[in-house]
This record gives sequence, C-alpha cells and structure tokens, in this order.
Amino acid sequence: MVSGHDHKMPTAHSGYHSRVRGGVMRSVLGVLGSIVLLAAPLCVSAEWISDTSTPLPLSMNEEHLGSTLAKSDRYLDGDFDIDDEILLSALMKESLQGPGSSGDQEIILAEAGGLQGEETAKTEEGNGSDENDYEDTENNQIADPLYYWNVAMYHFNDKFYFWLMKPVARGYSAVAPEPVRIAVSNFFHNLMTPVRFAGNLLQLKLKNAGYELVRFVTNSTQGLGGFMDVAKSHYGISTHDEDIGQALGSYGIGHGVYFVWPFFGPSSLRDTVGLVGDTFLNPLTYVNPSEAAAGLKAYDRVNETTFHIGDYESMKKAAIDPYVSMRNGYLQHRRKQVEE
Amino acid sequence: MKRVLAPVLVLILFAAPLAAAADTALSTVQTHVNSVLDVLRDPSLKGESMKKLRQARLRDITEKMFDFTELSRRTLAQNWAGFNDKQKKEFIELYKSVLEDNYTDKIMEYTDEKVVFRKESALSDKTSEVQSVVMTKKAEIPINYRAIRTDSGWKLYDEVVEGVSLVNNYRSQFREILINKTPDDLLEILRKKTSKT
Repeated sequence: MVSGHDHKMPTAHSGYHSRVRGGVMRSVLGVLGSIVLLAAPLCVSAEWISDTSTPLPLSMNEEHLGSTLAKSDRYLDGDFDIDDEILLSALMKESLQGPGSSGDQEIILAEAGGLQGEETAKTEEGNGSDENDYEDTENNQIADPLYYWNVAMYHFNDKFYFWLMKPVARGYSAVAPEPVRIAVSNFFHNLMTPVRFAGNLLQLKLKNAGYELVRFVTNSTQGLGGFMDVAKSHYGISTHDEDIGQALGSYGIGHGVYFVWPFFGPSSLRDTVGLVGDTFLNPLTYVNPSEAAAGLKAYDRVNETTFHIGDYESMKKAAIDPYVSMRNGYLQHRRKQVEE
Repeated sequence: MKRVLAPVLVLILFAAPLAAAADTALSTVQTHVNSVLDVLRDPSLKGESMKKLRQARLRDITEKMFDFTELSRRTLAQNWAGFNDKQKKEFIELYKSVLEDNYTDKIMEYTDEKVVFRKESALSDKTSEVQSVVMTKKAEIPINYRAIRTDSGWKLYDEVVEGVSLVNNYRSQFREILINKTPDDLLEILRKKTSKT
C-alpha cells in the first residue's frame, strides 16, 4: 500500500491469455520452439561478445573519453559512494580491457544482436544501486535489439488490457465476491504445483520442493480440492514460487534478449524457454478437449486480473517512459525471484 | 545527596539505550509509515470532499520522510554531473512532484491492509534497509525502504517493492532519455508531466 509504483501488469508468469484456443496452442508452442532454436545462437554470441576481452572496433569519441575522465575525477574527489563503486568497477574493467570493451554496453550488446546505430541499441541496467552486485555488469544488462517489435507489442498488450481484460475482469468481480475469487485463485495455484515443484527441484531446493508436495496433498484433501489454502492458514507452510525460467537463471543463464509477447507481456529469451517448460508442466495443458483447456486458462487469467486492476494503470501514470519502466520493472522483479 | 543522584543515574543509564533505539532507521520509517496510516484511517479526513486535505497531509509527511536531493542524485547517477546547479535544483523539484503525485495517489487506495515491519539491515556505514511486508487478503507484498543517515536523522532515498527499486526504475528511464537529449530537454519533459497531473 505504501508503494509509489507497482509492476504487476500481467506478466509472462502471472497468467495465461484467453485467446489461445485448441490447436492454436500447439502451433504457438511450435512457433515458440522454432524461435528458441533460431534465437539460441544469437544469445550465445551476445554472451560471448560481452564476455570476451577482445576490443571491438568501435570508434570511441572524445566525449566518451571526457566522461570517463570526469568519472575518475569524481572518484578521486573522495565523494565515494555506491554509484562511485559501480563506476570504479566499470573503470577498472575498462582499463583492463581497453576502451570500448565495457565502456558503453549499449553499443556492444547492440552489435551482438546484429544491429547498428544508437536508435536500436537499447539496454537496461538492472539493480545497479545494490552494492552487492556492482561488479556483475553482465547480469545488469539486457539487450533490446527487437525494440520496435517489443514497443509494438507493448502497445498491443496495453489495448488488450484496457479494451478486453479490464472490462471483463471488472464485470466478473461484480458478480463474484472476493472470497470466491480468492478460492478460485487458490484452486488454480494448487493446480500449478508441478511447475513450482520442478522449479524448486531443478534448483536443488529440496526442502521447498517437499513443502510444495505437502501443500498439494494438504490443500487437495483438507483444502477441499485446493479451494482453501489450509497449508498456509493452519500449518503455516508458505508457497515457494519458482518456475523453470528462475531455475535457468539460477544456473547463471542470462536473459539473452528482451522480448514482449502479445497477450503474455514482458519476457526474455531465457524466460520464454522457461515458459514453454512451464506450459508442459501445467496440468491444464492436458485437459481435453483443448478448447476447455484454453477456457480454463483464460478464466484463471481473468480471475487473477481482478486482484491487480489499477496496478498497471499506476505504473503507467508514474512513468516518464512506460515502456522502459516496464522493461526495467520486469528485469528487477525477475532478478529478485532468481536470487531468492 | 547520594540518594537523589542514584535514581537520576539509573534513569540516565536506562534512558540512554532507549534514546539510541529511537534513532534507528527502522523506528524512523515505522514512525513515518504510522503517521501515513493515521491520516488514511482518520475518519474526519475520509470522503471525496476531504481528498485535497488528505493529499496535503500526506505530502507533508513525505517531505519529512524523504531526502529528495539524495534520491535525485542516485536516480541520475552518472548523469548527475552533467546537470548544472540550476538544473539540479529544478530537477529535484520536478522529480519530487512526480513522485509525490503518484505516491499519494497510490497509498490513498489503502484499504486496511496490515503493515508488518520485519528488520533492518545495514547496506553501508551510513545507509540501511528496512524490510516491511504489507499483508493483503491474498498475498504478502514485500516493501523495503532504503534510508540514509543525515544530520537531521534518517531519510529515505529509495523504496523497493517486490524487488523493484523506485530509483533504479526511474534511472533507467532518465538514462534512456539522456542518451539523445540534453538535461534541459529532460526538464521540459518533466515540466509537462507535472503540469498534466
């Protein structure tokens, strides 16, 4: 409640969209698969380039040199704080690797994506103010070579939310009181246990994986088929929200490139791979006929949306550039999830 | 004489740690958040007609709560040096107004959720992070406050909601703008933004 901002816009992991029906689901998966295959080398090359110390043939202008000097001046004047620490590590890296190899990540990452020019060279700084990770520049950046596609999809999802999801969710919450919607939410959450179980297991969080199992058994029986979260309310066992994307992240796999899915919202190459895995682990995927499966997923999504009406609106209102704000919010949020 | 001194001494001994305790980041944030909650719960301030007054009260609290200069400096990070004194001053004012508009709007949606303060952990020798959780009926939302020790006590310079740092989020936006634009352009964008809301 005491928050100036919130980024709970339907993300790739908060629900499933309502338009995917039947066989379309399968072809969507097929498309996902081929995108992953096509994009994999891209991701690898991106990481290779930012990892190696090979100086790239970039023309470093004087402005850059000037700002580098200014940075070192700031460090030397004794006004040492977190931001300076970040700068210092960047400077040290720069002096070790030569100019251009780490000075402007924007340019490097854009080159890795096969694109040139500043317009398309968009990157993101993740959690730079946190003193624990100022050295971890790789983790703090995401390349956005598909900027124009992503912006278009951002606008598409914006309309999808305001024109369809929000009115539908509003109408639904008018007829379904909050306790009902919470029960429905519990039911779907319980059903997603395989995703969280696998996510925990893949990170060798055996205790938490065990808790997920215990929760599933308790809530499915005592919790009347999962509609009540008795595991939490009576036994104090909390859920441990993990997914395949987080597991991949915990292996040290970076996001690759930023990608906005229509309907699903912000994602990345890594999290898209995770999402495909999650879909296979989601019991709803195997409901027959597939129209019913899609319907249930859509219902889950609408039900979840009712709890977050206003979140996206306030993020958008608070932002100077909502697209950048959302991308950054997604990165920071996922980063925290991976770290946990 | 000794009889009088003894209780006084005892009092001083007991009071010293108490005074120190009152000066932690945790207690400072807690006090501020409680005064925010008091405003929101005040029956005499409820209703649409009192909205302006409520907003003004919340604004007063945020003024005391945050160090907007520190907040601005950390938000602009490397770009801070590229602003001259006049631009810095205007930036702080505009940024403050952007944040306050949204902050007060957002917390006025408050509907009796419980706020629990967990703990405080030092980030550096002068900064500290206070962890709190807002309990809604459905979920627990972790909100962390980052505070810096100043001459006038602990002041907030960042707020982290579900892992998303406010300063970091705005930094990414300003940085992207400042790649192609000047500080004056950015100020113009902020001027437009604040006059609209």
